[in-house]
Parts: sequence; structure tokens; C-alpha cells
Amino acid sequence: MIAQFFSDLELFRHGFFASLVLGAVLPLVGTVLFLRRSAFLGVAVPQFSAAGLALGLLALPWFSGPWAEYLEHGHPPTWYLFVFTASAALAALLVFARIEAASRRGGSEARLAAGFVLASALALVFLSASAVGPQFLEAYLRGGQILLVDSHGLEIGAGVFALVLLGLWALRRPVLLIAFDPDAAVAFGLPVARYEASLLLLLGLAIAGGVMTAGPVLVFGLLFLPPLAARQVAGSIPGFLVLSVLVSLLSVLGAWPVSLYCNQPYGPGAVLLASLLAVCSWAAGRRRRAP
Amino acid sequence: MRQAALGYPGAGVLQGVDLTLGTGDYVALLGGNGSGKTTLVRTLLGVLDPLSGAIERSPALRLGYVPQQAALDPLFPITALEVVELGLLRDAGLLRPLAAAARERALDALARMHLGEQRRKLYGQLSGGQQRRVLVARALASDPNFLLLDEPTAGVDARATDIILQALGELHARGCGVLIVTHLPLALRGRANGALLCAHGQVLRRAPERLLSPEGVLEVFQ
Repeated sequence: MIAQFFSDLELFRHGFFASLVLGAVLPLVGTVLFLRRSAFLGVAVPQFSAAGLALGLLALPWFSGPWAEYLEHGHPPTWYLFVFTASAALAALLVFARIEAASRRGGSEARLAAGFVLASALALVFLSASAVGPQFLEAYLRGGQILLVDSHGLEIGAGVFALVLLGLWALRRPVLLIAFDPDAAVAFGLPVARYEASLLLLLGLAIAGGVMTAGPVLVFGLLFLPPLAARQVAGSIPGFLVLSVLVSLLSVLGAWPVSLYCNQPYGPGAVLLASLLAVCSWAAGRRRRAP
Repeated sequence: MRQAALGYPGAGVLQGVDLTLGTGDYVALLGGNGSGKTTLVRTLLGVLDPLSGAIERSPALRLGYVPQQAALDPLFPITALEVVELGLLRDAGLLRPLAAAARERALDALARMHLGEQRRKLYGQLSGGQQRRVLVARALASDPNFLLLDEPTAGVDARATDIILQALGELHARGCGVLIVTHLPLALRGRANGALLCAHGQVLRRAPERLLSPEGVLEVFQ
């Protein structure tokens, strides 16, 4: 039975490896958002990234090279879509960062929610106006297209996520201090603005890479749910990171048999598994904290 | 700080602030709620820019900082030792692991706050008084030559207050300046060599023996 599973999986081996890469890196990005009390960014920014992707599809006929590749292979080049998803994610992060810095009286959650709705509407409008949009609607916005990742997409995704991983590792200490006590980071003379800009760039790249590879639903799920699950039971920062990645990997791996044998879309399956693990973790944490 | 106006754009809090602080100072900063104490501290830290006027800092300045406890996330999944190790960041490179001597400094700072045995406990699971001592330990580990503390003894019991104030006294004796925001002026009597009062949008210098007395307390809250 297991041999049969791996044999069936052979068809989707690029998607399988892409899911492992996403499963390992996105929850780490999510832990950063959680520690900064900006978890809602993990919902709003991927949706803007998806709107960027839809804009890229709308604009496809205006770019002769990518359009020719689409006509020949049935899909536009990965780099072309990445430019749109990454630009939209970075623009959204910059706008939300400015709003957060300017709003001393709070209320940034409401603006994130408004941004999410706006981005969702833009994505649908761009897709319906696009000559190629309807073909991509199911795949890109409903979250099943990781099954369709090819070797080129996997290479680009792995490169982007390796860069993000390296950047997060290098910035781990200042990111932690800035998240926990930003005033102390200033007092210690750290170049906070430079670290913040670097972090926004890494977050934007990770979210854009994730949306392009797996669609916004899986990206929301892997950014948000594994850290939520880990936070209930983690006893330290390393424990928080390891548990987040573990929950995420269990979800992305477990979703494969569900997708292959129950004929369910991959992304929502992984998100449902991560939700189940978050509920179990919440129950375990509650039990542990009980007197 | 010369003729500085402090506050937020469109909402000035303190005007005409003239203030010189050095490593020989141990200054108590008093004032009622909303009088501008935290605004002054955040401007000294460099978090807020003055609305007008000038601030000059010595290039050799190494600030340490103990924030108000309420400013931090109590659910942050970080242990007491990890919090203290954040104080080592100024001298640690981005990529190198923390040096053994630096780690030793963090453990020593926790031990000085009588929290050595709590080092693996989550910060959020410590009592309010223990959390404040962890933050003081972080400031000690950062090896400052001037330390700013925003109400480090608020809601702390007498024993923990003694532990904190004793550590501050030792630090000052070794040549580190101290500015401490407090609602317990009497506890600083005989320790502080300077006193500042935030009132009526100004920072007023007062004799410590007068302000840190029962009569002084009346002046603060009138």
C-alpha cells in the first residue's frame, strides 16, 4: 500500500518536494508574524500577492515574451508571475507597516481586514477581465495547483525559500529583540529601520513564492495555523520554532494521501489537517495549564 | 538636552527641557500619571525625536533600558534566560554564536536578581515582580554606562525592591549613570543623588533630600 502511494506520488514528485519546502519555511515566517503580534498580516498580504498574480495574468497579452510562452506551453513563465506576486506582497507589507507605525491608537486589525476584502475583490476582478484568467481561477485561487508544479517552478521556489531561510537565520536575534521589546532595540543602538526593511523584504519574498507555488489558501494556513498550534505548548523560542515546523510538515505530508485518494484539492486538505492539529494542541495546552 | 520640546507630532507633552545627565548621576524621575515621564525616557532612548531643540549623546554612550512591564507581551514564548540574553545583542555579531563569556554574564545577571533557578521558566509564567527582575537582569547583562528604568519597582514586593535597588547601587558605584522613573520616592532616599519632577509640562530639578521625602511626595501628586 505504501509502495503504491509512492508510485502514485511519482507523477507529482515536484509538487511533493515543493510542499516540503513550503511546509518547512512558511511556518517559520508565520512565527515571526506571531511574535510581532502581526498574525493578521499572514492573511491580508497573501491575498494581495494573489491579486498581483491575477494582475499578471490580466497583463499577460501586453508582454510578448511571456505571452508567446503561454501560447506555446499553456502557462506563463514562473519568473513573470513571481515579479507580480512579489511586487504586490512587498507593496502591501510597506503600506501596512506605514499604517501600523502611524496609528498610535490601534485599529490596524480593521484596516488589515479591509485590505483583505479589497485584495480578494481585486483578484476576482482581474481574473474575470483576463483572457486567460478563468483557466487559472480554480488552480491559483482555490489552492490545488501545487500538484502542477514543474521542475522549473520547484527550482525557483527552492531558491527563493533558501534565501528567505538564510535571511531569517541571520536576522534571528535582532528580529526577536525587536518583536519582544522594540524600544530596547533602539536603546541598544541596533539599526532597527534597516532590520525591519530586510525583514519585510524576506516576508514579501516568502509570501509571494508561496502564493505562486501553492495559492493563497495553503499560504494562509501554513503561516497562521502551525504557530498557533505551537504557541499553546511551546516552552521556549527554539521549541516554538521546531513545533511550528513539525505541525506544518505533518499537515503538508498528510494532505497528499487525502488529495490523491479522496480526490480533494491539496491546499484545503493541508489547511484542515493543520486546523485539527491546532485544536489538539489547544486542548493539550489547556490540560497542561489546568491547576 | 537643550531647550527641547518633547511629545508626539500635534501633541506636545513637555516644553523647554534643559537636562544634562552623566555617568555620575543617580536620578529619580517623579511625576503624576500623564505628566510626561515615559515621554522623557523614550526621547532619551532615541525612540522619539524631540519636536524642537537638541539632544546630544556621547559617542561612548552605552544605554541600558528596563521598560514598563505592561509594554511587553506576556504570552511571548520566551524563557527568562532568553530574555536576559537579548541584552547581549549589542556586542554579539549577527552570525556568530554567543560567546561563552557573554552567556556567563547573562547567567550572572540572573543570579544577581536571585532568579538563577527560574532561568528555564517562561517569562509569562513568572510573577510580576520576577518579570521586572528579569528585565533588570537583561539591563545588567547589556553592560551599560547609563541605565534608564521605567517604574522597575511598580507592584514589586519589598524584598524584590531591595534586590533591584541594591543592584542599581552597585552598578552606579562602578560608574554607570542611573535614571529611574518611580512612584516610590521614599525607597530612593539616600540612594539617588539627583531628582527630577515632571509637572505642568516641564521638567524641574529638585534637591533629592526634599523631593524624596514625605513632603516631596505631596508636591508630586498635588
